Amino acid sequence: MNATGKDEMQTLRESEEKYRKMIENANDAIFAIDTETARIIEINPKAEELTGFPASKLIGMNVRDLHPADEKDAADHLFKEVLRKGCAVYNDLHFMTRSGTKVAVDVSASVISYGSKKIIQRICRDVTERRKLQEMQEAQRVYYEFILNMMPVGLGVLRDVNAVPSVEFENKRLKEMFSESAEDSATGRWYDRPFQTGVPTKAMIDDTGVYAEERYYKDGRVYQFTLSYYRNLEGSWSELQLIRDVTERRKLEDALRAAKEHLEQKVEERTLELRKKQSQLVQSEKMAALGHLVAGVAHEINTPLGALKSNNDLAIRSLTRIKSYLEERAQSGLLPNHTDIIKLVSSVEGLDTINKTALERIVTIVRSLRDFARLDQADQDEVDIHEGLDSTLTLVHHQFKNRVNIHRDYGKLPKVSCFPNQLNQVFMNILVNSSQAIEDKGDIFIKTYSSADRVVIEIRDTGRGIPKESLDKIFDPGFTTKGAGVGTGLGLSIVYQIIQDHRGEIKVDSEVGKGTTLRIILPIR
Amino acid sequence: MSQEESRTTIVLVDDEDMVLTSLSSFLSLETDYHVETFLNPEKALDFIKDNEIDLVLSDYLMPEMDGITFLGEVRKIRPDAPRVILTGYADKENAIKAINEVGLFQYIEKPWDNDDLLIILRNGIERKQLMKQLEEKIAEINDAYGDLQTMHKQILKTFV
Repeated sequence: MNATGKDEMQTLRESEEKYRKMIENANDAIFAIDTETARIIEINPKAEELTGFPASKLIGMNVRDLHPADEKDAADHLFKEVLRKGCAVYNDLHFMTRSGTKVAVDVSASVISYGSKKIIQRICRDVTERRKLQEMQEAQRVYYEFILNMMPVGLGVLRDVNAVPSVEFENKRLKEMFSESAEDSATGRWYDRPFQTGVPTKAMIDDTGVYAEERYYKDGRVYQFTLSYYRNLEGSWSELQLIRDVTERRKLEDALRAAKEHLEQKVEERTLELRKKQSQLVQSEKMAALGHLVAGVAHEINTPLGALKSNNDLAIRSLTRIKSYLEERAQSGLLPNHTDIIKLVSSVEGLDTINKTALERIVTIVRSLRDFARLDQADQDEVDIHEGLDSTLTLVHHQFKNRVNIHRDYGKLPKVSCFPNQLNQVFMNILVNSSQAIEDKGDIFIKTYSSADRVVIEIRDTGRGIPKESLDKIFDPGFTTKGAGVGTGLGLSIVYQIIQDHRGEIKVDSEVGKGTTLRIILPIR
Repeated sequence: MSQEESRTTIVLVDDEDMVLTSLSSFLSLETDYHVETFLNPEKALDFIKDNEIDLVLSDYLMPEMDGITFLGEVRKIRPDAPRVILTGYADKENAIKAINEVGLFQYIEKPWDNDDLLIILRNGIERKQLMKQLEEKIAEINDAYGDLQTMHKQILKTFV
């Protein structure tokens, strides 16, 4: 037992020697501290080196006196914590060296048995260089983070995207972007907020691993995501997300697109309007040309007509005188066989009635022609609508002859302020249409009436009528149901335009097989 | 028909022979006017320069000279002769405009009515003759007044 005890003592001594050597050669400063007084009991050479104090000074010193004034509390705390827990590690402490410099130390303290006694062993490492490096790194990190936060683009890093993703980094802008629209519709964070539609703008490409899409959120915002993937240091997949708010840009683009569409629509409308005006212009030029032609023709016809009329009159005057002379002679018995001659003269006189009627008819036609063209009234004027209707009817008479009966039911109309030649063209176009709608025989009823401030001209035919599906198209330029070459498809569109120019209205009523009624309503003034 | 009429000269100008013939035939049937017809306005002007006339009736559209210009010239030569224009439709507006320019007495539209035409011509001639008579009377009065003045002076001379 003794021998064994001796051996044990021997082994203990040997191990203690080994331990002492280890401590003495240790690269860290090691202090043995009294658990009661907190005074240093023993040190290793590294402790002298670190603090600059010789062993003679260190031993007996309260360990808190090694720390700078502002760390005294921390030192006390450490002391108590070690006693309470058995061990403690403080990595943010300093020593004041003998020369007055501050040395950063990591302190690891533990309670150990020293023979029968318990002491605190403090292992302190000089980490000044490392701390400096760390601080520099930290400063750099702060600097880089500052830069990342300054970026006007949201930037975030997700790690472990192939397993359970977690946020590694998000910059200031990104946080702002996803907090400003924190309505109930916009729950979720930048990487998992549900969006309505995602429009890929760049497909995933193998060599760059970049994928871009625009996400449209419920609250109206549009963010452009650029996602790239990389293997992080741990070997799992991280995702770098660059997020731009393109809401305003999209809005602008939408506005631009809308403006462009609006413009295109306007251009289209204007083109149509222009085309209408053009066709109208062409038509009115045609009318003007026709007017000049008609005036010329009227002039040319009127000269020989004048001669003819005058001569006819002259012939009858002469005949009448011859007749009365003959009768005088016969009465006084100077002309024995007179009855045949008087008969002859009388028959010529009878022809005069026909001549006069024929001549009057020519005069009326010529007058209607020029009244229709109304060259002398190309300007707005107070016009008798019935005169216009009548001269137009005279001109289109050949279309009706023995086929269409015209029924006039003229009411009492005041004079209407209008462009007479334009209005005559309206009547002409409608009457020609009506007569063409009547296949065999039929009627056209013309009715006029007026109210306080407007006149109504109703033209009804018993023609074939207009099918329902065509009714709202009949005033469109180019719409025609007549075969190629029969109509220009402009007639009623010109009618419509002229009535519009007169601030009037035109209404159509039609039934297939029964006929069509066109009702023109014109303001009197 | 009257003696008055037989001393009356009417000048007709139209580039259409048929109009001239119709008009002159009618006038010779119904009146005793002396009628001179011209197809060319220049020739008519020559005649008017050399002869006293009572009325001019002219067509408007003529190739050498239009009726308004022609009647303007007539006005210079014979300001007292009434001027009547005969128009087709195309020139009606211009003719009306020219009435004041050249002092037209009337315009007649083709095709004309013979009775209307005759009334216009008679009125024109009557007017001319009345104007002439008026001038003669005024001249007479002026002469009488002149005589009176002279007598007045002589009386004054004699007594003062």
